[in-house]
Order: sequence, then structure tokens, then C-alpha cells
Amino acid sequence: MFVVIKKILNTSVRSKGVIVLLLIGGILVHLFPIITAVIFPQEKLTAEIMVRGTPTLEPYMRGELFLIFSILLAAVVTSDLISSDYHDNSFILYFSRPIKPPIYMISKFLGGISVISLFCFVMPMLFCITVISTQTGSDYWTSFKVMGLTALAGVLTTFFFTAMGLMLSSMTKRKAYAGVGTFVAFFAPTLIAEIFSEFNVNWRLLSPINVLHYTYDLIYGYDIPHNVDTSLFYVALFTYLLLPLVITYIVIQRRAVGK
Amino acid sequence: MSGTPKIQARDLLVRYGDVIALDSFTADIPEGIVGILGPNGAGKTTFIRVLLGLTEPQRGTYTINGDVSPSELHDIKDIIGFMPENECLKGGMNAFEMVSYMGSLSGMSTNDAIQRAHEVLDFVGVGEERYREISSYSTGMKQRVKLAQAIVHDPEILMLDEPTNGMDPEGREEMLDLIEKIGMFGKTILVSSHLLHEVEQVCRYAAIINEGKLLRQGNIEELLRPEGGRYRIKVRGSKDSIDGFVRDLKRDHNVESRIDEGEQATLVVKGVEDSDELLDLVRGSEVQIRYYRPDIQSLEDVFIETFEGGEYLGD
Repeated sequence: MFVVIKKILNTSVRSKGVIVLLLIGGILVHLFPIITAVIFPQEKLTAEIMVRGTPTLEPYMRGELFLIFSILLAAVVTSDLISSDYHDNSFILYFSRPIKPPIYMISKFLGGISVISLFCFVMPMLFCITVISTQTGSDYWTSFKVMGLTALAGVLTTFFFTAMGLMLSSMTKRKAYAGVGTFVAFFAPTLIAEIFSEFNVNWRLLSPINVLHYTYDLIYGYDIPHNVDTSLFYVALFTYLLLPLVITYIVIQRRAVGK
Repeated sequence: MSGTPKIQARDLLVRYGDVIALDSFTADIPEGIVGILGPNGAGKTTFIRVLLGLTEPQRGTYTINGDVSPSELHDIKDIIGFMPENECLKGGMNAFEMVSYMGSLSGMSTNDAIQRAHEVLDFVGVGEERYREISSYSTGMKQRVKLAQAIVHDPEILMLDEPTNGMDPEGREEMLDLIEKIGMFGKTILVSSHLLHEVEQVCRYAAIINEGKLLRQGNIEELLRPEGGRYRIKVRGSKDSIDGFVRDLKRDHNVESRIDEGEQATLVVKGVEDSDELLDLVRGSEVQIRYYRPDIQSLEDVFIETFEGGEYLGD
């Protein structure tokens, strides 16, 4: 498993697309807030900074750029994780060796996570560390608590985007289809959700982006909008987290051993 | 066949929709280099896929290495090497990266995989090109790299699916030489091919399959040995004396063919149980015998004969 993860990480960090996205995204989404936090030190790291924003800082985790770059990165990193193995037929070489379909899938998933987490987990943690190390107040307990919650949100975000990308990569031989598919899988339901939420607000849960944002709210101690059905929200959350992996597993199993 | 079979298949049934790929397939594969012969679509690749656990049979069972059943197959996959028929090499990698990666996937440590990758690439004849991207390789080079990735972890059993596919005659000879060399290390090598002379050249055992069924199996020498006392006789004499001799011969034997060349004729006679009897017949006639020897078949003859016979083993 470690071999596959290492290979994905090595290949990704040498990929121009990934480097460009990490650089531009890193500067726009992470570096600017970090610089701002240094120039305008906060009293402490709060949930407000992370999801609601302050007069000097945009909402960090719920920022539009964070979302767009996360999706773009997920599309680029995950698009060839499995599709390229179908495309060059090397898929069969994995299973002629002591690798079972679940291990193959988990290895690919963790490989994708190892790259996407650089943007969705490591950099937010750097932001938290910067804010805490420059904070003017003495309430470090609250700051570290928010940092812990950010770690949780980062892990969840990485999981969320990687799972969806992996599923689309398992469905096609073409990297481009998988990449575009990942992008569309996030934005098309959001578009539909926006249209139909005029009639019923629960339609918002069709959008993985909305589900992710509500999840941030819950993690940082805010409520989800009162008119959104909480049970439906949890169903949507688990569907977006687990269904892609279940589908990926079924597709791999069918391709690997024909069942 | 001597000793315990290395691979045993019993009553395997594999269906792809309405197509039956393996039908009550039963075979015993001994150690050594074994040819799996059959036309395209005969079920050769499906048989290998079943052995690798890549296709699950709807019925039947098989054992590998004596007693390993399908459920335990995963645990022994590191003793199996597989060279697929189709292109399977990862794009964007060079041969060295590919082979060492495959070694690592087979459970070797990174250092061992690197060292071994160099060794096997040397062995298959990929020199400095190993650092060039695989997509720039010729078909022959790719076949060599495919073989290298199959043997990088030094497997006990090697399954080669059409190993000379797409290679030029020189490349084929070299590939067959490599297979022979690997066989010398005491490996069991399954060579699936529809090219009969290749199998005849390197294998010591062959199984002929068609439409998912085993038609015939045995040592190559046994398969090539003429059945039913088939002999080739060349006689010399006048046309009348040869005609007379053939007439006498036909009384107790089956003369399969006669080729006249001037005052000579070459006859293929079947059903000769006692050579003395036949030689007595020559002595009593007016023909002179030029040569008399068992009619050696080629694997192609055996193949055609087997297909014409059409009787399946294991039915």
C-alpha cells in the first residue's frame, strides 16, 4: 500500500498542473490570509475567523477561492489515479500480484489524500499556527481548540474531494473525462440545488458544496440553517462521503475479478 | 507426466454472457515449460486469468503448487509472475521505474526491487534504453519489459500470454531463448500461444484446447510420436513393381499417402505393428527399400489431427 501511495505522491509533486495549482492556490487562498494575520494580529484564533470572517480576514474555510482551488486540485490529482490504470491496461498487473481490490482502492485513495491534504489540511494548519503565534490575547485554549476543529475540517474536506474524484476516475479510461467529471459533479448539483431551493430549501442539500459548508458550520459550533432538515443533511453528508467509495469499490471489484 | 502436477484444474466453467470461455475444463499442468495451445478464442487467456484469480469460474476448482486452492490464491501470488498479452506498461514511466515499481508491488523492499530491476532488465536485453520513457519503445522492447516485470520478483510459476505477440522473427527467437533460459532455473512456465512452432521449440509439455475444452495434453515427444504405428517408407522399382507392393501392403495396412517420384515412391503407412512383417513384404516384392522410419509429426500435424478428431478430454 505504501508503495502505491509513495508513487502517487512522487508523480503528483512532479506534475506541472499540480505544482501550478498548489502555487497559485497556495498564494491566493493561504499565503494572503497568513500575511494578513501577521500584519493584523488577531486576539485569538476563533471559529468566526474560520467560517464567518472578520473585518480584516475573509472566512477562511468557506472562502470561494478555497473551494474552487480544492475542487480544481481534486480534479487534477484524482483524475488519473485509476483511469490511467484502465487506459494503459496496467490495472491487470496490480491484481496479478498480492494486491486485493480493497487494498488497491485504499492505496489510491490515500495517495490522492496525501496530495490534496497539502492544500486542504496542511496549509489551513499553517494558517492556524500563524494566527496563534501572532495572537495578542492569552486565550490559547480556545485557539488550540479551533485549530483542532480546523484539523478535523481539513481531514473531512480532503476526504470529501478525494472520494468524489476517485469515483469518477474509476468510471472512465480517460483522464480528461474524470477531471471534468469531478468539476461538474460539484458544480452541476449546486446549480440544480439553487434552482429548486426556491420551492423547497432542502434541495440545497443536493449540492455537495452546501453540504460541506453546513458541515463546517456544525464542526465550528454554528447551526445549519433552521429550515434545512437536519436528518436529510446527515443523509446527504454520509452519502457524499461514503457513496463514492462504495461505487468505486464495486467498479474496481467488477473490473478486477469480474464480479 | 511424472510427479504431482504443479497446477490442476477440474471441471472449470467460465461464461461471459452467452459465450462459454471454459467448458468443463480439466487439466494437469506439470513442472517445466508448458505450452497452452489453441486458436484465438479457445480459452487460453481465460484459463490463465482464472489461475491468477482475475476471473472467477462459475463452476469447478483448481489448485496451484500442489495444494493452494482459489481461496488461498492471494497468499501465494508473490510466487506467480504474469506477462499479459495486451499492452500493460504504465505510460509516463521508463522501463527501470516500471520494473522496480512492480517489484515493490510484489512485496520487495525498495532497494531489492531497484537492484533486481537492473538485473532482469539486463537479462532480457534492455540496456541503457531502460531510462527512456516506455511509450517510445518498439513492440519488441515492450515485450521484453513485460517479461522483466513478470520475473522481477523471481516467481516460481510464470504465466506468459502470447509472449511473442507482435515481434519480428529475430525478436521472437530471442524471446524464446529467454523463456528457455528461465525454464532452466527450474521454473514452471505456462506459455499460451497459437504459434505452434514456438511451443514445439521451447515446451516439453503441451495442452491443446479449443472452445474452452481440453482436447489433448502430454509431453511434446509423446504428442509427436506417431500413433498407430505410422511409418514412412521410400521404395525404388518399376511402376508395376511399386503398384504390386502397394497392393500387397494394403491387404494388412492402411496406406495413408503415396508420392511417386520417377522410379521411387514415398509411402506413409499406418497400422504397422511389427516391422519384420513389413520388411518381409519388401523382400518378397521386386522393390528395393530406400529408407524406413517412423513418420515424425510436427506439432502442427498433431494440432490439425486433434482438431479433426474433435474428441474432448474430461467429458
